[in-house]
Amino acid sequence: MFSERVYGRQVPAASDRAPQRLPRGRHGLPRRFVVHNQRERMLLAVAEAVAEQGYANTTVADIIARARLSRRTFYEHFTDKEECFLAAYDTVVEQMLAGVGHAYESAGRAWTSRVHDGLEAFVNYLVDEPAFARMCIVEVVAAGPEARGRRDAAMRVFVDFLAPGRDEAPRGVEVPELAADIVVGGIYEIIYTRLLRDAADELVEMLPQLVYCALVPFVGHRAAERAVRENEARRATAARAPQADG
Amino acid sequence: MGPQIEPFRPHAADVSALALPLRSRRDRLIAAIARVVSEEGYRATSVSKIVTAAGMSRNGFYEHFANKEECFLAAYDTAVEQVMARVRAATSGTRSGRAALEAGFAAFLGYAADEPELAWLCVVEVLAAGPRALARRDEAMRRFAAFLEEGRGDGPAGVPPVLTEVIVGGVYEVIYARILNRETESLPELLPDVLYVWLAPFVGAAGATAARSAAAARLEPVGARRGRVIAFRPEPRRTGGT
Repeated sequence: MFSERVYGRQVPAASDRAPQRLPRGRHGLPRRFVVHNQRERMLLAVAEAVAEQGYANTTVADIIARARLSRRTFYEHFTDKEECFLAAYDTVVEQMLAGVGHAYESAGRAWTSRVHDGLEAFVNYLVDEPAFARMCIVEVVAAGPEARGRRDAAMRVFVDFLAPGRDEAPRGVEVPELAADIVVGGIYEIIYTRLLRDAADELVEMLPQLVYCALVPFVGHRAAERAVRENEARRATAARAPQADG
Repeated sequence: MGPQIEPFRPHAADVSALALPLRSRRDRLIAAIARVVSEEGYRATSVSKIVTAAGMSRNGFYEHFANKEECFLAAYDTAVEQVMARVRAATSGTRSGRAALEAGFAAFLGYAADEPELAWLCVVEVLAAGPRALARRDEAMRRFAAFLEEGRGDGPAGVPPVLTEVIVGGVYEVIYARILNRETESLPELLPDVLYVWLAPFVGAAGATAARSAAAARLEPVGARRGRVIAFRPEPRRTGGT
C-alpha cells in the first residue's frame, strides 16, 4: 500500500525482538518504529507517555514503567526526561521527513505535484501514527527551548520544499522569502489545532485545500486551483490502477 | 514601555508601591509577570518571583489575583486591550479597507516591538500556561483573523475557507519565531511581506507586489529612537510634536 511504499520501513516481527515486553498494539503505535534494544524501547515509551499524558505530566517513572526497564538502565542512556524526549523526537522526525522527502522527490518534475505528494505523505503519517504526531506537533512546543529549536529545524526542511516555488511566480513578480515561512507555519497551526482536538481525520479531507494554500502565494489563485484539480485527478487514477511499482 | 504600563523599578521601596493607587499596583504586577515569564518561562514563574520583581508584598499580590494563572490571564487581556486600542487609533480615519489593514497591522507589530515582554507572554508563554490561556489565544486569533479579512475585501470564487486560518496561523508562527529569537524589535519589518502573502490570492501577484512595495517605502528607519530599528509612518506628519 501507499504508506508502506512511502515510508519504506517495515518493522520486523515484534516477536523477534522483544518478546512480550513491547507495548505492542496499544494506540496502533509501534508498527513503524523499529525497536532493537533497550534504548529504543525507552524512546517508544516516552513518545507514548508524552502523547497520552502531556510532556509536563510525564515522569521518568512513567517512561520506565512503560518500557519495563529499570531506572538504572534509563540513566545509563539518558541524563533526564528531556534528553530521552529529544532522542525520541529526532528519531521520529527523521523517519517522517524521510517519508515526506521521498514522496516529494518521487512525484515527477512539476513542483506543484511535489508539494502535493509531500504534503499528502505528511498528513498520512500524522493520521497513521497518532502518538508520534502528538509528540512532534503538539508536545514539542511544551518541552522547553531545546525542543522548540528542534521543531524549528524540522520546519526549515519544509520551507526548503517550498522555496523552488519562487521560480514559479508570474513574470515580474518576486515572491518574498517569507512566503514559505508563512505557509509552513500556517499549515503547522492547522495541524496543531486539529491534533489538539483529536481531529486528525479532518486533515485528510482538507488536503486539497492545504495544497492550494501552499501553492497560492507562489503561482497565484488560478494556477493553484488548476494544480489542485490535476493532482486530485492524478491521485484518483493512481488509486484505480493496480500498484505495479516496488 | 507603553503608555499604560509603567516601567517598574525593582529597587523602589515597598512604601512607594503601597502608596500607588490600586490600578497602578495591578499594572505593576502585570508588568512584573511579563518580565518574569519572559526571562524564566511560565512554569518556573512563581508568585514570590512576581512580587519580588514588582517590589510588592505577597498580600499585595493576593489583593488583585488569586494565583499566578489569574495574573497571567490579566496580563494577556491587558495586552490584547492595549493592542486593540492602538489598532483602532491607527485605523480611524483611514480611507479604504486596504489602508486600514496596513495601518492596523503596522500598529499591531509596533505594539509588540514596543512591549517585548508582554509580546513574549502573549505569543510564547501562552502555549505553556494551561487551557484557559489557550482559549484566550484562540479568541485573540479569531479577532485578528476577522480584522484582517475585513481589510481584504472580496476575492475570486473558490478560495478555500481554510486560507485565512493558514495565513493567520503562519503569520503568528513567523512572529513567534522572531520573538523567540529575541528579535521582537524587528517585527515591524515583516509588514510588506505579510501584506503580499495576505493579498496575493485576492488581488493577484502583481497587485500584491505593488502593495508590498508601497508598504516597504513607508517603513522608516529611525535608529536612534528607543533602540528600535524600524518604525512605520502611516502618513506625512503635519506637526513636529511628540
